[in-house]
Amino acid sequence: MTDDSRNNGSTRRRVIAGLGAVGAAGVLAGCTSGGGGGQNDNSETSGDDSGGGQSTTEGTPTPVSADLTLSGWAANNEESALLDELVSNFNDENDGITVEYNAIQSKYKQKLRTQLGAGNAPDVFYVDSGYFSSFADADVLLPLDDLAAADSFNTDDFFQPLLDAFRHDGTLYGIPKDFSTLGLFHNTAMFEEADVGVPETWSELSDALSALDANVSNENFKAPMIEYANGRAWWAFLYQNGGQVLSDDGSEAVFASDSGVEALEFLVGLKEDGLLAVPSDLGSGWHGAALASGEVATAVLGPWGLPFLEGYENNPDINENVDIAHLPTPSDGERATIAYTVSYSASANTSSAAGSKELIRSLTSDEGMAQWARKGLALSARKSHSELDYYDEHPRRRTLLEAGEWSHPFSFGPNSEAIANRIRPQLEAAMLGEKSPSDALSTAQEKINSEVL
Amino acid sequence: MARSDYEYPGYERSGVSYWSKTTILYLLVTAGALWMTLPFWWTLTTSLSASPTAATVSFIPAEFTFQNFITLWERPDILLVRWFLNTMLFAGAVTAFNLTFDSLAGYALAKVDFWGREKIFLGFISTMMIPGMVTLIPVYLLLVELGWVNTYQGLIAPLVAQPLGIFLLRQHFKSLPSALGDAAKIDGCNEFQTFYKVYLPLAKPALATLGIFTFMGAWNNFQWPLIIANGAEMYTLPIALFAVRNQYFAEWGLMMAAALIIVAPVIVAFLAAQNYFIQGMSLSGMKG
Amino acid sequence: MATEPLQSTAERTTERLRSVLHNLKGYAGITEDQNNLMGFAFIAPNILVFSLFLLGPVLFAFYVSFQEWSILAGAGEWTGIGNYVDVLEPLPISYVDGSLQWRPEVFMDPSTSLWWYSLKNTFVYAIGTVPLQIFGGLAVALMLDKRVRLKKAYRAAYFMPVMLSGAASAVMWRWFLAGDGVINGILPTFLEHNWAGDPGTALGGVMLMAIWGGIGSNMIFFLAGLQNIPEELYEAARIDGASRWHRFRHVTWPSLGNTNFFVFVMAIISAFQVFGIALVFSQGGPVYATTTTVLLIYQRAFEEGAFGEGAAMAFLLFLLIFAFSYYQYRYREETEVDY
Repeated sequence: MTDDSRNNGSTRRRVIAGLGAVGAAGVLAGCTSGGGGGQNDNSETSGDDSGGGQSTTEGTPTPVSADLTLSGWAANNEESALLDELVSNFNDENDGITVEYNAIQSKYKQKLRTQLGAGNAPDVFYVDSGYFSSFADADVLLPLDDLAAADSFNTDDFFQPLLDAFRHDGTLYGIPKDFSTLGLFHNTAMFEEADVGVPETWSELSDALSALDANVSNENFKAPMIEYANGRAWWAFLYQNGGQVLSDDGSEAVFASDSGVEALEFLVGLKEDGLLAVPSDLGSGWHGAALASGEVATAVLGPWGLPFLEGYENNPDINENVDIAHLPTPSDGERATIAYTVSYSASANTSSAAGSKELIRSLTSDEGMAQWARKGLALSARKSHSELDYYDEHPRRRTLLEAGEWSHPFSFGPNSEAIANRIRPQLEAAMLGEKSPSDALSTAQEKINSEVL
Repeated sequence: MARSDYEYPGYERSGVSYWSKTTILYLLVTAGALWMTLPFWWTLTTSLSASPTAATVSFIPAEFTFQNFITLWERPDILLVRWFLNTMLFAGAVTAFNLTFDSLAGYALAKVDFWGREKIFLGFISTMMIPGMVTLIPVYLLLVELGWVNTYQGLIAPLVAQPLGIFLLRQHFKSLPSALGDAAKIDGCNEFQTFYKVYLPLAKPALATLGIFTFMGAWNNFQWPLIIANGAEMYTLPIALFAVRNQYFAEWGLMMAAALIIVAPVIVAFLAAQNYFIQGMSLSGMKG
Repeated sequence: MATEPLQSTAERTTERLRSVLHNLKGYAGITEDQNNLMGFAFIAPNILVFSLFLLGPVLFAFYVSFQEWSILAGAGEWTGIGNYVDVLEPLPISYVDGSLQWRPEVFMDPSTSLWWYSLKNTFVYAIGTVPLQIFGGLAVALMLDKRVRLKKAYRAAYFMPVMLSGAASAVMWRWFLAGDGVINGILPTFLEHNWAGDPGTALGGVMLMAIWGGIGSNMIFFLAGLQNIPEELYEAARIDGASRWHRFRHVTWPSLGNTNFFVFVMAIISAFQVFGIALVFSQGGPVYATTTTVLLIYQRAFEEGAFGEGAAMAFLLFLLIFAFSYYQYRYREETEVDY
């Protein structure tokens, strides 16, 4: 009967797949067991030379032997291809250490958290500054102070705000792998048409946007500026205006101060005047697409927008027309921007602390980070790299890199996500006109102070 | 063989009343079917277009190209063949186990009187009322203890007996007359033979339904393989949908192409199973 | 007169023990005509898997709901019903000045209590989708049960949305419903609206997508159920002169009783647990408009690390769903005809 043939079909499939499973098991078996030898932290930290090498130093050099797993999310296939390359270079240069790279395609934070909780985590992995503190607080990360203290590693070369983002209770638990900041992307051709210069203060920005609104004749043009309904730029404006999200000791939320409310009123005001549009009012879903298609003239955006603009085929001229400037500041405020940064961290349960540190060191050393930076996916976390040739050729990225000096990481203590989750809907409510800015912010602040902190 | 309420002897297939009702019927059914399938048509045209922007969707692709599919094939981080095989094994095993175990359990819960039957039944379906994500963590911890993380058995085992199947089959068996089973027992069958020879063949529509739903559920499940797999070799096909999703913007053509590749085998399975959905129950065994 | 053989003490004791055991079994509900061994043998594999991978984890989650448990750090402070209290406060009913007062604003404003607001969203979603999914599926099943040409093609067409994974369809529909999307392109200008980005209509967008994707599966269930209705019943009804509507009401609908129970309970369970499509479509926004209860649990438990609170919410939701389903179950028990 036909029933039987169906069963046979699935049995056959299972046999074939079963053979595949046996093969896979064989391959995988070798990879995750940690080789135990050589837990010699001393030999590892003194005398590191950049460009990866055995941890041979003065004293007794004991080669580190380990099988490590490295995990990260795959922002796009270029990033994972680059990491594959760096990892295989590392494997070649370090005989004793074998690193396997696994890209986690989705829900990275959940998966990593689950693995750390179950004691089953990779050895080295990305940690976003947003949830970094909650991990460090739970004692699942390996302290990296000795790595940072090594002379040749030169931690002074890092932008301090980025390093501080990965300190918890004074100990360093992660080395920044790269970062992004927000800058003011603008379409120079449209600015010329409206006869406006690059704005440096908030009021200049409003004026520029009004002029653009009146004068730009592009057929796709819909609004001078785009911003998400949840007001991503507000976070930067808050700091520029002298405000903070949390109090200095992190025990209470203080963003609903006058500084914060003014910043939000500025943003909401732009929307009410028709100078700013949210993606659902436009055809494009995000800032990069809006700029590229000519629907907007400016956007507060980060370096991830550049590969899109550079590769935009429907409008090849757009790339020459878009330039980046530092964010405009309020008249009595200071320069500030938001830094989105990610670290390489190691699990406290790693099979080889020395090996993990060596891998991190190699990836974030002068040479390692320069290689990463040259791909243009994000910015190098080392200050000295602004002198690299790469940034001569890509001055827009250099502008964003410089802003690292006065950037504030998007990170608010061990309850970062709970805080951001409660602020963003209120920002949305204000931007969509459902609530006044001061109502929105004070509701969020009150919720956070009562529920979270 | 006349089977539905409409095909009886003497049913008039002519006349105004017949034609007007039939036309309305066809119109309604077709309108609904269009609503169901038009999005797929757009998915198809998008996957065959070269880099469509978000706003333009048309019935005919502006630039017809297979590039999206070729890109998917060539991308080194998307192991199409491997993932396809993994998913086949996963979905196939889960379906096979479920069909077996759930039909046994459904039969017992419907036709065998044993102590605690109703309470156990309620217990089974109660677990469906807890969101799966809450049980995900304890199951993962258990699998870590068993050492089954990143293995096929770890992937398959928790899904091997699902309350949905037990529920569906219990209802189906309940709606079959007990008289059949009594007759079989009088003829000397024991419980298992009654099940296997009398009731199971009559459950083909329900088995086909359960089969297709289980297969589809396992096929489209990306959350569980994502958690349990530690490397690209163990991923299943739906993860391709995320692999093409650039963190910052969506490449619609690639995504739609991936969605089509993922859904194609399910469509094939459904068409194959369709034959079993409709099978009239012949009561000739009851007469006499 | 037959002489009865005298019973020895042992035999009498044994008999008395047996009768005691028999009475005990009677109390527990074990009766003579039960086939316990076979029954348990049949469900043994399911019981095993169920205990390991379903019941065990559920009990673990229940245990965790009484603590402040985080995935990373494991067990935290034992709070007893503290999590439950935190979730349920403020209640929509309050006792003021000696009388009960109804506070509907708890449901309307997400800032007062996101739990009750999300419950409201979930209810609205359920009321909006369940009847349409069920009766739509039934109608299509009835229509396609007749001799319609290309029946198989139609059935495949209606089932196609079900075959697409939730994530893919949510992405697709968000694209269609965007301000500049296809739907607005088709509608006349005065009806154009920002469906996905407006807090008032975002949930409607999710519901539309759910109905689109839900009719097909119910259609299949009903088709399977319709197969079991014997032809003879229809014939008898026709002989008695019943009209088409009467045949449906008195033959089809009651015979579908078992299927109905299944479809209703499954529809309630899925509607109350809606999560994936809301997450992908609009991440619970804008301004909490599409935050359903399970999405809230996801945020609390997985994003914010408050797993104990998430587990407490999950059990409260379970109680609600169970209440609905148990009511259905008792209704079926009373009206069921076992034949």
